[in-house]
Amino acid sequence: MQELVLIQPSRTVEDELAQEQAHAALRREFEKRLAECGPLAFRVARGVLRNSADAEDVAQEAILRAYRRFERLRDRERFRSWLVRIAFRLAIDRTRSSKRREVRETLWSQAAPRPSTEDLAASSEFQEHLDRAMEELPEKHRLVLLLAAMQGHTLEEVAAMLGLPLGTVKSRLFFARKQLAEKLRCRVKTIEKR
Amino acid sequence: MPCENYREALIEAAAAGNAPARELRLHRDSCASCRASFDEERQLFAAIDADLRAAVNSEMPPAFFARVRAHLDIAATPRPRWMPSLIFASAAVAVVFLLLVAIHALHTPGKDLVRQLPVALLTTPSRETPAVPGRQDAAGLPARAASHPNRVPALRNAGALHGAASTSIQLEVIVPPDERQGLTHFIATMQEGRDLTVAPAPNMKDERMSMPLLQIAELEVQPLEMDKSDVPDSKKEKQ
Repeated sequence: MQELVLIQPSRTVEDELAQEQAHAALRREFEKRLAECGPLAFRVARGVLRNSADAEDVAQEAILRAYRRFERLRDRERFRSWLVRIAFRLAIDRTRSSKRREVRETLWSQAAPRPSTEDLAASSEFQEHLDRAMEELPEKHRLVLLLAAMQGHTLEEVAAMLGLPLGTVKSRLFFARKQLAEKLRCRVKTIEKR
Repeated sequence: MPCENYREALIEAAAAGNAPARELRLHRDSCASCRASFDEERQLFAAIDADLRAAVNSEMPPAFFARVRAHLDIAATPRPRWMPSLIFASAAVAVVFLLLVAIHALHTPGKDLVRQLPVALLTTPSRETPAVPGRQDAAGLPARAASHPNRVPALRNAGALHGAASTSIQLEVIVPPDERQGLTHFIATMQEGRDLTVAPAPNMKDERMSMPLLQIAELEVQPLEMDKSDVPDSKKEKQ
């Protein structure tokens, strides 16, 4: 006797519909979280890169990455911290690659004259030194420093965002500030000697 | 406790952003140098904080979210279902086409040879005609039949090649602009099946063609001179 197989053609349509609905729900949820955390990603990137255009690029890239993996994120409440970390990492990568490019260009051109002491004094010297000192900080210290500098972020919130004990955040912040001050002091002394 | 230790403790207090402890405060109030150093440190930390806050709390570009949403829309657009199969089919067709071209090239060895031959040799030997004594070209030079067997001995082979390959090959010839008309005439002649005439161009810029012909002087053959004393050996022996 011939075996008959029952085929349900409407099944695939239903599946597709359900899938689309799931996608739409996911997108809605993502957008809701994005409205809360998007500015944070931008600010973290801006704090690292010190440039709004680059920070926007990096924040967009971070958000896209987050969106692609959002479905697989188990604890959606951790989205904020997750996005911040992605943006921070991408910004650090961007800084490194631009620094490499800068070194290459400097090596090739070698046309930029060395600034005199007066030039250094006249330029936004402090800003430059602070940027360099920040780049030399360990990443975990740097991230805490940036998040703590954001308006409306208490240390408790930073601790909650990073999933760290408050004491750890405080100690990281303390060491970061101390290291920054030491580096800046050294640089200022070097300039004064010149 | 020396001033150096107090200073270190005051720096740490400034770094932590806390008010110094009572003992430190007392020393700071009594020691002008430590007070100055503490004030300096506080100013430094204030500058650091101000700079960080300025960097981190800058205004977001107004179109930031719009751009992000546009990117998200692109990322969320699902690929059509037929897209992967279309890509696969295109790749398969391309591979088959390349294989066919490769096989065709392997099985037609004369093809490249024909391409390398000059155009004048690609005439059909069956339409060979003797030299045309009466015809002259624009420069007044006597026209010659290109298919004359004595003048172009390689023509038979070329014609055979042409016969084999002309059915499937579209020849492309690059000519200078002033020779374009002549080539057009040549092709028209071939297509009409008329007798082909080829004459050297009147203004050949090729240096090899303008070289003077090698002239060989005629050889003079002089008769051999024989001495009278030259007598055959056999006669000497008899004497």
